[in-house]
This record gives sequence, C-alpha cells and structure tokens, in this order.
Amino acid sequence: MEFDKLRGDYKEAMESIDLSKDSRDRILSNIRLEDLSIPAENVKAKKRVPLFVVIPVATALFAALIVAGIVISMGSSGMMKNMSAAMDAEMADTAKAEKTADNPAIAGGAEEQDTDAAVDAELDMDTKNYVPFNPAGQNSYSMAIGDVDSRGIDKLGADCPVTLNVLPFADYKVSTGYELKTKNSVKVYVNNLDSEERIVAFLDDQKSDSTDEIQSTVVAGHEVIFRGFMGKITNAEYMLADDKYVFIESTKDYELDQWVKIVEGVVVSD
Amino acid sequence: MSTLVRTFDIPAVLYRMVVLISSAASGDKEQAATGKIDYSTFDREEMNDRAAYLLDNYGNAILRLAFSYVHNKEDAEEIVQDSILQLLRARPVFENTKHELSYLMTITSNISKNRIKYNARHQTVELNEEIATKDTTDNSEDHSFILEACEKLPVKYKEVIHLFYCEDYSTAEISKILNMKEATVRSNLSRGRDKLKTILKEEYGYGI
Repeated sequence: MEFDKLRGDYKEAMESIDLSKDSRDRILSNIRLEDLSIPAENVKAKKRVPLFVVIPVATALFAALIVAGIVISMGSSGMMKNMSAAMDAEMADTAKAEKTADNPAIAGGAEEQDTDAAVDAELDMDTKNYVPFNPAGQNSYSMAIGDVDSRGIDKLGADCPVTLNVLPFADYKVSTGYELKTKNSVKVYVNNLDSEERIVAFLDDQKSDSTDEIQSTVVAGHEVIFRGFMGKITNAEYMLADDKYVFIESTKDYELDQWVKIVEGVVVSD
Repeated sequence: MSTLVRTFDIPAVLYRMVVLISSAASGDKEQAATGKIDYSTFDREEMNDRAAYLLDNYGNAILRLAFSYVHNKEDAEEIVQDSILQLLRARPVFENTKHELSYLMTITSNISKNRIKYNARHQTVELNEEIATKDTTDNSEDHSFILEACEKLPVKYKEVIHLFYCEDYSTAEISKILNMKEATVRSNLSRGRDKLKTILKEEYGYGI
C-alpha cells in the first residue's frame, strides 16, 4: 500500500510531539487553580422543566396572548369608532353652524359666516351642543336666554334668564354661543376669536363643592366667590335669590378688576 | 439442577459485587460493569484526579491533534489545557473511555480551529510557529518535513489526515469527532492525501 509508508513516517514524526513531564505538571497545576465549581442554583437551573409543566404553561401563555390580541384589536377598533364619532360630531357642528350662519335672522347677514362658523366649530370641538350665532367682528354682544328661545330652544323655558354682556372683550373679535346643560340650565359662551380665549357663564341648581376659594367680593349686589389655582382666578360663583347659582369660567387668567367686569356683564333677569 | 446452577451463579455474582464494591471504595466513578463516567458526580478532588488521568492517558493524543492544526507546541499545550478545562466544566456523562476520548478530540478540534482564527488576526505568531516546529521536531529530523508539508494543507485536509493516519480512527469515527458526513471525511481524506503527496514529492522529493 503506497500510503502505509506515509502513515508510518507521519506517526514517527508526530511521536516527537509529546507532552513533557514539565508541561504535564504545569497544565495540571493550572487546571487545579481554575474554578470548576458550579453553584448549586446554577445546577438546579440547568435541570429541564418537565413537559407536563411546560405544555400547560405554554398553552396558557399562548391563549393569553391571543386574548390580549383580541382585546387590543377590539380596543383599537373602539378607539377608531370614538374618533370617527368625534369627527362626525365635528362635521355635524360645522354643518349646523353653516346652516345657522345662513339664517339672516341669526347671523345678521354677515358675509364671513362660513369662516366664522368653521372657527367656532373648531373652538368648540368638545362642546357637542354648542351653537354659535354671533357674527364675528362685533365688538360687544349681549345674549339673553330669550334670544336662545326665539331660535327654537323652547325647552329652556323661563328658568334660564342669563344674559352675558361681553364687556371685557370690547376690543376683541368675538363670537358667542350656548350649550344646553340641563333642562333649566344653559351655558353661554363668549369666544375671543383672536386668542381662542373663552368665557362661559351658566346657571346651575347646585353650589360648587370646590374649596379652592381665593377671595370673595360683592359685585352688582351679589357676594361673588372667586376661585382658582395658585392664586390665579379661573372661575367665579354667586348665588341667586331663588337658590340657583351662576357660574362664570374663563380660560384666561384675568386680574380681579377684569373679573369684576366680567361678572358685571353677566345679567340674570328675573 | 443445572437450571439452578445457571440461575444462581454464586461465584459470578460474588465477583461482580467485589468489583462494584472495590470500584466504589476507590472512589472511581467509572463503573466497572458499565464503564459509565459521570463527571456531574465528581467533587473537586476527583476532578483534579480525572484531569491527571486525562493528561496521562490522552495528553499526547490531544497535543498532537492540536499541533496538527496550529503547528506550534506552545499553542498546542494551551489547547490541551483549555480542552480539559472545557470538558471538566461541561460535566458530561460518557458511556465509556472511548466515548470520553472522542469527546475530548472534538473539543480539541474546535478549540484548535478557534486558535487558528485567533492566530490569523495576530501576526506575531508566525515567527513562533517556525521556532516551535523546529524545536519540537529536533528529535526526528528525518521526518519533520512531513509535518511541514502537512502544515501547508488546508485545515479540512490536515485534520482528517491526522486523525486517520496518526490516531488510526476510521472515517466513521472521524465523522463523529468532526461532526461532518462520513462521505465528506472520505472526500477530504482522499483530496488531502493527493495534495500532500504532491507537496511531498515536489518540495521534498518524498515519494510514496
């Protein structure tokens, strides 16, 4: 066999490569210095988990994942529905605003009604029943509940005699609107279209349970309580003779003297 | 009566018991009856003893296998140490000593290949290789050229040549050690042999 010679010669050459005693002792010494111990907890961790445990746990996890996926998908579809409903409401508000603006009796025949209605709708996305009816650009405006009634809101009745005179906004471009709150309550809005500020006045049957009173003062014969946050007045409240309460809120931090003017602008007829 | 004798072969049973008891008493985990070696039952002292056993019995074999890869005795000795450490840390269970040696060969092969890659990235090794080869082949100058010729072979050829010609493993056993198909082993062996033959003939005038 031609390769038998090679085998013999190769082996002979390789035999010269051997592990000397010094090398052997050195390697053994090094091995003895190495840490070969395996912590007990690691040994336990390496043990395989029995299949009768793995399979039910895996099945439960898989089922939980599927349920979670279904819930998430349902949640997202619900969220989409809410968004869709909000968009629909917004579009309805816009359409309603445009329709109202087209009515000369309400809008006063102003040419910019479409734009104003859209702005109003934008300002009142969170106010579903908000109906703007004041033409923009008018420096002051008085709105009485009677006006609201005349525009077909009969169910308000005579118990909501709120008039909001927009005195503080004399220099601003304003629009107003209202929102039915309850049968005997209405919110009256005044929006400053230049700065998207808003004042809201409304009647309610109950006193506020808020305790963050800043100060109180008498305005137009009423003991007005001003409330707010960190020293800034954000709302005012006073009681009427028939145990109804007038609430006035503002999105802007007015000083007290300005607040007094706002409160004076709110007229509740008997 | 003869059935009873076969069933209760008392001398055989006694001999088996004596072997087992003496095996247990000597602390040798390599059971006489089955040859099973369970490293997971070794304590530290037994680990050290086993390391000495491995070095004494397989030290040369794994050193030569490592040398066939790296052609540097210092590297080869490090590979021997790393291989034994890896085996001890793995705490495997072997059916017999042959299985244990095959496992050790596989570890040595893998570590050697890693060392080749490491050396390829560290060029300072080349000088050492030359010195080491000369140092380690001083005693067999006549045939040291064969090792030099093998060094010129690709790894896939020289590993099968070494295991086949030096360690006398069959191609089936080599396929298990190197974790490759037996046909691949045969193919590499044939091609490597032809290539080695050419190198030996052309460069060293060695005829086979």
